[in-house]
Amino acid sequence: MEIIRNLIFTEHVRQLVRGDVSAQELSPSWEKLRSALVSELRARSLFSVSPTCVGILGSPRWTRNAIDELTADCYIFVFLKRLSSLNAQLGREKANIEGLIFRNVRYFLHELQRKHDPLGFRSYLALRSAICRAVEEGTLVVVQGDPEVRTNTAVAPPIDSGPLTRATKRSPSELRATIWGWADETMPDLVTARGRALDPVIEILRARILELSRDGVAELRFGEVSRHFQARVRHLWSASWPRETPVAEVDHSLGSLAEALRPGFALEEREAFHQLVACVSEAVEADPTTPRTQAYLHRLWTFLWSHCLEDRGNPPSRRQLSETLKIPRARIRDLYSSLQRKVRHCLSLSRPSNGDLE
Amino acid sequence: MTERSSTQSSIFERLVRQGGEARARLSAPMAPPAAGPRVGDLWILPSGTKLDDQTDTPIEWAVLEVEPQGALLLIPVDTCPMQGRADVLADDARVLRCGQGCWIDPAAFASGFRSGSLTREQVQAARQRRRDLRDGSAAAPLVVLETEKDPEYRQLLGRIEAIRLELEDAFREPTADSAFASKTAKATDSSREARRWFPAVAAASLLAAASIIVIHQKSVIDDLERTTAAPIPNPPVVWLEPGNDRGSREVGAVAEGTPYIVLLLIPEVTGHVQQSYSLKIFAHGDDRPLWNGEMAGGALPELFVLLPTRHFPAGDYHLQLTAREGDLERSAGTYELRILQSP
Repeated sequence: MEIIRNLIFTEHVRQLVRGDVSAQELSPSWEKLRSALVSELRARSLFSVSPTCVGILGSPRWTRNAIDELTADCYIFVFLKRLSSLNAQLGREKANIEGLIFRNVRYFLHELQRKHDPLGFRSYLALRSAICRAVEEGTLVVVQGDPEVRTNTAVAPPIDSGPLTRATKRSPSELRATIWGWADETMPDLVTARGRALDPVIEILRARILELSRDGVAELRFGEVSRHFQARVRHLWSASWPRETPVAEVDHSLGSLAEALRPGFALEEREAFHQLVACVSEAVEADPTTPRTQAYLHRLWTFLWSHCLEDRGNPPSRRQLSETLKIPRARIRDLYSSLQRKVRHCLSLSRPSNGDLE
Repeated sequence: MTERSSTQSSIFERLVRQGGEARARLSAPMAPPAAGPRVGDLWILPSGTKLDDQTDTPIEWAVLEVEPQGALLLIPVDTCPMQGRADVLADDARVLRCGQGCWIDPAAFASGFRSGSLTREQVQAARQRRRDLRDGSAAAPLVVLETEKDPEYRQLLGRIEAIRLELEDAFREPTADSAFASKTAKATDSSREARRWFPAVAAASLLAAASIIVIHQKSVIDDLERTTAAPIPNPPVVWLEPGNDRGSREVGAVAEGTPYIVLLLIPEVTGHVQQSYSLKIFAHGDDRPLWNGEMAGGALPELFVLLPTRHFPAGDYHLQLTAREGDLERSAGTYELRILQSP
């Protein structure tokens, strides 16, 4: 019985291939998938933030409906889009594909977070890259959990790395304060740097992690470190934008673009918004301009659409944008015009006309 | 059994309908073609499944080329959505890992399982991407560069590479087919080891200001450290300029026991020093790089490369140099090199 229960995904794929699956037959794999998804959300510290971080709009918290919406998207990604490949694996009499489904759940959330939560994804990516580098070079070793460095992974200096400089154990609050310091040190580059420009940030984090691990903290748990780090990065980013933009500084052109972008809660609007974000992002990537201008465009665009998702009201002034995004103030007008053209073009691909952006 | 909410019921209804549509799209079970594997086929090969079972990284193999003598060029295919420069999205789910191609013996297919096929366009896209990679002209938008930095992606590629090597090792020895044997002899006997090299560790200090190609494999690094620790008396020197309008181009009569040839590569002029270069060396007519290394840009306009003669026997070679600056890459020159037979 236990074996059968453990092979729920495998059996479900067989059912899908054999013939139509009823709602009742769908139920066991749905529940197992839902549970796997929630575990992965917790592992990525996403369960404590808004579902918009993975593209689920219309719900400020993780309600049952929000989780169901995400599970449905995940089911399509994991089972339906990959049915041909899963069927091929079972065709060679592979005993089960449970592990593969769990891995695909991870990929599903990884891609969603990359697309919809640039802040959280950057924090996760940079911190994990830093620890992976230290593990690859042998200055840290995995002492517990997944060797591929995930939430349950604990790392420590190798036994032969010499005596620790201080044998005292840090309290949880001390540890948190230290990790917050890493975020303070690496922001805003952690968010605004792109491509190879992210390397120095990863290097700083690697150095700080090694300092901490040599400084009496015998084991570092990636999940714990990541949770504190992401929370601080989100706080710093949010705090860098004033609650109110002075009336005299409200940029109406930016405001109108933000207003036109802001998605509704209906499924169709949500999908249209994500398509628009993807379309403009591609246009930014393809813009035949200098790397510097492209980086500015990307920064401004990422800010604009995430601002719209979080529904923060008027966008900041050009001065505030310039200071936080590190874009010369004189460039913002041109960059904005360029983005406006791209948004208009992408909207024209999906609907006949659009007059909102004039 | 828990009561389903109305939202969940409507979701189930939608998923059940989409499940039926997905099943309808499944192709009929495929019998192995009588004529053996063909270009565009997707196969699951038992010899390459031990590791994929252990790591939950199931791989299909796409056939990109079939030589008349039987050797096949395969690339791995998987369903992870992350894509780097070398990858091509084939359909909704399958990604072709074009940078991990391998030539193998047809015997690998004896107990294989044909699992599907690519369209002609998908095969062409994969071939084009391999050419772009070879020419150093594969597009590298920022999002792709970031994906390549992602540990999740790097771990995936590491697993795929291990599976590819497992398959190659299983079919390392060519069959008795002499044509196939002669085709692969060069790569198998002299350069197979080199094909696995990856950039990592600086090799030697031939000239203080020189940029030296860097390679990875420990045994080769040890070998390099040993041989470059001692002076290399009168090594043969080849001077190469892009397009071969000028330069010596040929190196002849490499004396027995000469460990290295020294290449002086002149990159295409840009007016300033590049941050770094990557160099690929191909045997003539072969699209598998024998050598794939990284070099730091230096103060001098030319680049010095030590070429171990035991990995590069007499023959014609094609070299491709790619310059990197920040996130930008561009071709810095292609070169032809002929190493003549030792007397």
